[in-house]
Amino acid sequence: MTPIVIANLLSALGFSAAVAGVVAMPSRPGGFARRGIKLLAIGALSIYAFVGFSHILQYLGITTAFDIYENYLKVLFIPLASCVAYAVRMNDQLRETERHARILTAEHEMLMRVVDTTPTGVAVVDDTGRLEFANERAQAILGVAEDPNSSGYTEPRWVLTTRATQEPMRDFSFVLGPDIVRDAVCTLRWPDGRALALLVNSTPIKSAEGRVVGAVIAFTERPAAVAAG
Amino acid sequence: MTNPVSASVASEIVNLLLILVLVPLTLATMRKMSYPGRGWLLAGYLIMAGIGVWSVVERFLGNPTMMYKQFAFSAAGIVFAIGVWELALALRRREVL
Repeated sequence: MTPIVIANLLSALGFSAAVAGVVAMPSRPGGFARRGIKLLAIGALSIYAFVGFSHILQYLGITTAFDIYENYLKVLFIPLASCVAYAVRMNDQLRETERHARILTAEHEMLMRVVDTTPTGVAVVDDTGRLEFANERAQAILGVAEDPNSSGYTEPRWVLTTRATQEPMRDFSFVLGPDIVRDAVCTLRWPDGRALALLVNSTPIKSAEGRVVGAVIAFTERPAAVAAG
Repeated sequence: MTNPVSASVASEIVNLLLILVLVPLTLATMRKMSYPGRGWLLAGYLIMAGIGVWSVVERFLGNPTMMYKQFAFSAAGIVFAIGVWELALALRRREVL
């Protein structure tokens, strides 16, 4: 056996062993060795296993029949190998994104449990003071419920007054200032004459440009004696 | 029928162009990855890219290093086999997903 045949034998065996290694990789959902990636890698490595065996046949003087196919197949190696690298990288990024999404979902669920457990009414209002979110306690205090016909809440039947502004409002727009509101007292009055005083704290939600786009409000019921107005 | 020599030259030139475009991109991609066997796989890939470039250069020199090129192929095969099996074993041992 000439050295060139030995070299090609080593090459063919090496690439064949690499193909066997890829086949032996366990495929797991979302894992490194997804089926598509494995197929691309097998395709790339098989090319040079084939080239090696073709060269052996050629240099042993058996046949040159496969020589012409080598030329076309060899061109595919670099694109296929590059595809494997990109696919693995994409797979990594996808897995990382999914991991972050799972963490965010878990954090969101935990926060929602905290918000729903607290005896304080917690709500989020938009830049007009209308309710965007209210926890169970807030819904009970305000007498609103999730509106099945929209993503918001049913219209409140009360009017709201504060010590600062006696003008009745139908929303929480009085908290939409640039600063945090602490221990503001407001009164909700229903059409049937019932009144409820609330102690309100709120933090504005600001856009990247610093514009107030809403507020997070926390409130508790107060005895009627301290009601405003 | 296709002339085997011209087909060979054409494939080597196309291969060279692909190497010039894809190898830098692939290297940038692989730099951000960290897997068992990565070094071996990178080495195998670079040997193959080097052979692709050298094949075109060699044509102008009358193929004086044909024999060495065959040894480079065998080196690439062995290096790929080591890299792939290192990764395959890590996957089987669940060291990576």
